[in-house]
Amino acid sequence: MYRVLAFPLLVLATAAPAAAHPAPATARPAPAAPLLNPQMSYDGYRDLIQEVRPYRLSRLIDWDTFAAAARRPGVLILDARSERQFAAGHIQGAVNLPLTEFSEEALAEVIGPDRNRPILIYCNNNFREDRPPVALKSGRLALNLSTFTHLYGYGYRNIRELNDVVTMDDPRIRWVSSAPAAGNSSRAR
Amino acid sequence: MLRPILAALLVIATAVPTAAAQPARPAVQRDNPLIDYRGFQRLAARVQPYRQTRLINWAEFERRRGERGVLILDARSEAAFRQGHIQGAVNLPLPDFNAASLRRVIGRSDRPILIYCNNNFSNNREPVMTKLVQLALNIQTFINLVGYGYRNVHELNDVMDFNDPRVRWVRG
Repeated sequence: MYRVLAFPLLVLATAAPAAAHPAPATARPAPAAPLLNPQMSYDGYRDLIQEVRPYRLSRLIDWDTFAAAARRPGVLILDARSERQFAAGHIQGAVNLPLTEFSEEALAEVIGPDRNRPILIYCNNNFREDRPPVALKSGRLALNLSTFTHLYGYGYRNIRELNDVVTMDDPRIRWVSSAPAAGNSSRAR
Repeated sequence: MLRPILAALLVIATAVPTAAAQPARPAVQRDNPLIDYRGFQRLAARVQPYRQTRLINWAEFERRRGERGVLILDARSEAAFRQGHIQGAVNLPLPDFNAASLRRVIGRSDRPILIYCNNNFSNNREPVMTKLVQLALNIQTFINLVGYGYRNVHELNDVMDFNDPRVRWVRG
């Protein structure tokens, strides 16, 4: 027993001093670190998605819960797809602010001053059809993930995400469109 | 000698399951099978060091934009793009990214792509309102492009003024 424990300790003891003396600087000149754009933080983004993950898990809701919540006053259904896809079809009552337009000011304009306003989100990957205007995105790049993390990042704390996979022609969904889906989809062009 | 080690091991062994057993309680039976948050986190982790090697300054962006086959991709919304963009850029809004739309706009997966976004400008005016540093569009665009198999991406790292004539900003 002692032997087994002593061996790794010995390895550590001999390895540590070696690590304390790095290879001489002459070996390979390190590339000059680029001066990073101060208006971007990838580390900050990774911290954010780490922080949001457990919270989001507790905020996934099924269709019945989503529909019931949507009927209550003050609740906002936010659709973060592009303007074009939104025009081609969306859940009745939803308001469009494309993810690419999210900023402190734009969100305040659409949501209002209350960071605790109940917000319901859905995206392409809530629909089974996989056709415009809800053509499927890769599962790890689903829009809901971005929308959720962005809303949270901008301080909104009452977000719920539709977890079900539904169909556009399910009458309960009340899918509405103001433009024909085929001609306006990114896929059809 | 053994006592403290065993005690430490015991503490670790009992602490780990407790921590793991207390995530936020899921509100639903099972997650949407079409959405993979862990996969998204792993992808973001994998892309970070790669992106670091693909940041270029304005001079390099200028040099590359003139090369054959290079695509300047602007992933902002259509309305913002119409109001103003770097000359020669092509617009595909990030929410519209999927395997088919990217193939249509980009073509070959090894095509050289240059990206820029709101946070490459100091103006903080429409159509390039500054976003939160951790939510800069370039980060999303970079991760998405790599996630869909486009790895030959360079990202503008400088902060410019869109009135700078070198930018060749096109107003709608």
